[in-house]
Amino acid sequence: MNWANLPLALLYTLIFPGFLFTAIVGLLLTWVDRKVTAVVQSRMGPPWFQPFADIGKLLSKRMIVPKGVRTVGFISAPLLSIAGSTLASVIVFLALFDPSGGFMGDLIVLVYLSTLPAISLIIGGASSRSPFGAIGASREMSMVLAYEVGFLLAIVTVIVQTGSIRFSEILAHQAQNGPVLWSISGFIAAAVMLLCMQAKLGFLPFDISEADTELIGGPLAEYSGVGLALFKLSRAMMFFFLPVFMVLIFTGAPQFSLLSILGFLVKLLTVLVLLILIKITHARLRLDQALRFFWTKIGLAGLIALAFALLGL
Amino acid sequence: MATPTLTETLDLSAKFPGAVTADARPGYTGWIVEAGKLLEVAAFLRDEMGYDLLSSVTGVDYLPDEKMEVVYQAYKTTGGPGIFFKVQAPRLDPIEVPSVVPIWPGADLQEREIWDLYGVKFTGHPDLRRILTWEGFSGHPMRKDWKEAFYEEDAKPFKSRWPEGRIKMAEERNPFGDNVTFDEGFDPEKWTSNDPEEALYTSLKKYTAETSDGIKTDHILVNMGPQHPSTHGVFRAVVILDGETVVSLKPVMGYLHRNHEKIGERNTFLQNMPYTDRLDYFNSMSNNWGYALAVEKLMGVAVPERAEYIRVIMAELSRIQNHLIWTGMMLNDLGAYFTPALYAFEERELILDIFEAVAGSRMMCNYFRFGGLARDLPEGTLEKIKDLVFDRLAAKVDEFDRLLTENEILVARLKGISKLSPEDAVAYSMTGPVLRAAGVPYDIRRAEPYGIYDRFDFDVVTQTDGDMYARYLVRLEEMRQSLRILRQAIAGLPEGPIITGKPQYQVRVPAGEAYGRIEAPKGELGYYVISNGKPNPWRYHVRAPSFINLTALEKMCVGGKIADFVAILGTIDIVLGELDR
Repeated sequence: MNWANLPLALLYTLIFPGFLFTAIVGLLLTWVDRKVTAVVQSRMGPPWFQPFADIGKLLSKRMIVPKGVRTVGFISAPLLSIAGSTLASVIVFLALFDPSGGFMGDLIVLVYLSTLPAISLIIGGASSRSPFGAIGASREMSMVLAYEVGFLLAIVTVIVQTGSIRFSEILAHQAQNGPVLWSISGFIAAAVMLLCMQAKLGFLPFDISEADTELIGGPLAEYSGVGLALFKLSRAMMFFFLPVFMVLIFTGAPQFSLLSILGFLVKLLTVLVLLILIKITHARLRLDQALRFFWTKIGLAGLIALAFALLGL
Repeated sequence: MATPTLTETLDLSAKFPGAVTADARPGYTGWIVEAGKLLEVAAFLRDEMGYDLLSSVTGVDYLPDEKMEVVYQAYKTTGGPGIFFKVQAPRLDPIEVPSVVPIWPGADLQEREIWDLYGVKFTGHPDLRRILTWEGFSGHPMRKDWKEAFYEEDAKPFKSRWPEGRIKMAEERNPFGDNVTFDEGFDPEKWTSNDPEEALYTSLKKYTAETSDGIKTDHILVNMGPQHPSTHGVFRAVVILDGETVVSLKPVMGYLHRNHEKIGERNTFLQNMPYTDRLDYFNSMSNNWGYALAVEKLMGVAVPERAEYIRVIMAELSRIQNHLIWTGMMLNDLGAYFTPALYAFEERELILDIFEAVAGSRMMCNYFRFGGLARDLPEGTLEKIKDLVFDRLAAKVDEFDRLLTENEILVARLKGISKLSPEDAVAYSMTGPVLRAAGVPYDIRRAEPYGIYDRFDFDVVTQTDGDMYARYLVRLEEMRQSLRILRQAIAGLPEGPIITGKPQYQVRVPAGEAYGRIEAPKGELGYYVISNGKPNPWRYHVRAPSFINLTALEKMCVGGKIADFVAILGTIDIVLGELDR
């Protein structure tokens, strides 16, 4: 290992484009989320710094570790969550800002890393010794198994189309041959991925494991202070890098021109607004209904996309 | 459609000679049944006479006569007047009366309430525990010889209130710490429960955790509430879960109990009016009406035409805003991120504007008076009401219909879940939209019209499925029917006085009993008032639909998923101010 690279690696991971950058932009995007929601609900909505104030308040509060929790799991879960989001965002943004970077199979690593927040929710919920946490954790477990299938099928479709499991090569392929989105298989895969992202982000109608009105937050029920802040922050980061990831693998990276960058931002905002609109106009599905939805409809759509991709469509 | 039948001449005393006598006290009606024959008479009334809906069971303490009375009010779901029958027991502990739960399961929670507040033991009751007060409570607070903290006098206005033209607070005279009397040897600081939770948990049936395939599974005990976002207040349900499925459930209530009825007995008749606002705080207009109706029956006072029309207008506007809020909050319970709720609130605010204009307050209206109303419609209000009724609300109800009724997720979550058969719904004394959703066309506005409801042309909305979706559809359609009534009421609104006689602070109420009931948005709201000729009611009982509709909660939830429980509680439409009283 080359120790000389350590400062640069730390910089990448902690400041740009890793933790700090993603967290700040992610929080800004949760403001977009709240503002769009407010507009739809004919409210005013919060000022732009509200998400920062919320996280700041949570960070300033004491974290209560309830009696009888499994301390190691309970405390490490939010850290694991934030670590997963940070590393995944590094991979996504290095591909965006440094197209020649990355390594063979970074797409696969990204998929694994992006499930870490969900797994840490399971760990945190199961160690919290609250029935709400336990039910939430078991629901999250079922949900991960269901929505990751669709997510993977959508990614495999892109892999088949572009013929690479390396992020930078997928982007390069699209720069030459046009976006994956403009093919039948790409379009179906994008729709599949959008709905799976809805579940990955814990948004309605798939926020079954947290289900405020049923499980009062599920795995998050016992978290307070820093622990809760880290989970929220990790969610905010996912709300940034997952849509970016989706835009990248389906439409390619922006070029160094104003128009292209603006186009990229428009695409990003479109994905975000789609996610938000689905979230605020739907009621929550029951666990069994959501599982059936992902295993049958989404699974089938993913397979169809893959079949089209194999046929070269 | 149910048509009100003529009063039948039913002579119970001839049918049960010796065991049943007519209630001959002046101002009283009904029958006095001997305790030993109660079940026989009840079964006869239900099976042969068709009084299938037990509206209300309540206790009355006749301290001067050394008697404790339990009053039953039964009605026919086909309509018409009801029958009152009473059981009297000597006022010596233990006071025992047979439980009518085997005949009418809907008496379950009400008998527990009487046990709690009056100390009447119901023999044969499946689960006789305290319900509104806490487990360590000493005595039975509704008894006439029970004195509350800061007790001064039996009846308001307290003589001490204006000694030298200045209010002296009860707390000043009676500092904290010296204000309570306890039983001999009872120290509240040292009191430890002999685990009251244990009694609750054992009343949930014990389940041997064994499934058919021999794998032992753990049952999770979850306390939904008292602090829970979907219990609409401080309500608690203890749920036993097998995975996600509800195996057993018990409602626990009384966190907001303030002994409304005892306060009502201390108050003068008119002083009670603003207190009724606080019961179902969404619908203070209908609450006022129920109470005014009962006292007007006692006083024998007629209401002027104009007041009757305004009453109908206010009550129906109240129903519309209640159902709008219900739709929004129901969707919130299903997880729908506040969007429908805020859409509903927008319309509700406009209706509350009207309430504010006529009554001075948006929610605590205190608008009705015995024999009329507090004040007339201010200038311009009628135009506002017309705008709402003829233009805006109809379109908004249609918009809700368009946005929600066909929504795939809504249908998937509501349809076919928590089915209640019409027989069960009647047996459990369910009233209101839940009963009508089960296919029983029972609406007091039609079954036993009060006010001037017999003049209006409207449909009693029913559905046949009895599931949650049916309850949603019933409420949606009821808003349209309310608009229909409103249009007729606005068209027919006459000029004239709004109150009979001069408005007065102190009304003279002749001795007797009266039961006034109205079709409140949440179900049958009844007030049972007894006067002994004094300025204060001797007994003031509220038959709260939220409370009694919960009797069937366990039946509706068991076998469903935990996610459904939240929705089922939402479809019953409870409000805690009324539930805990």
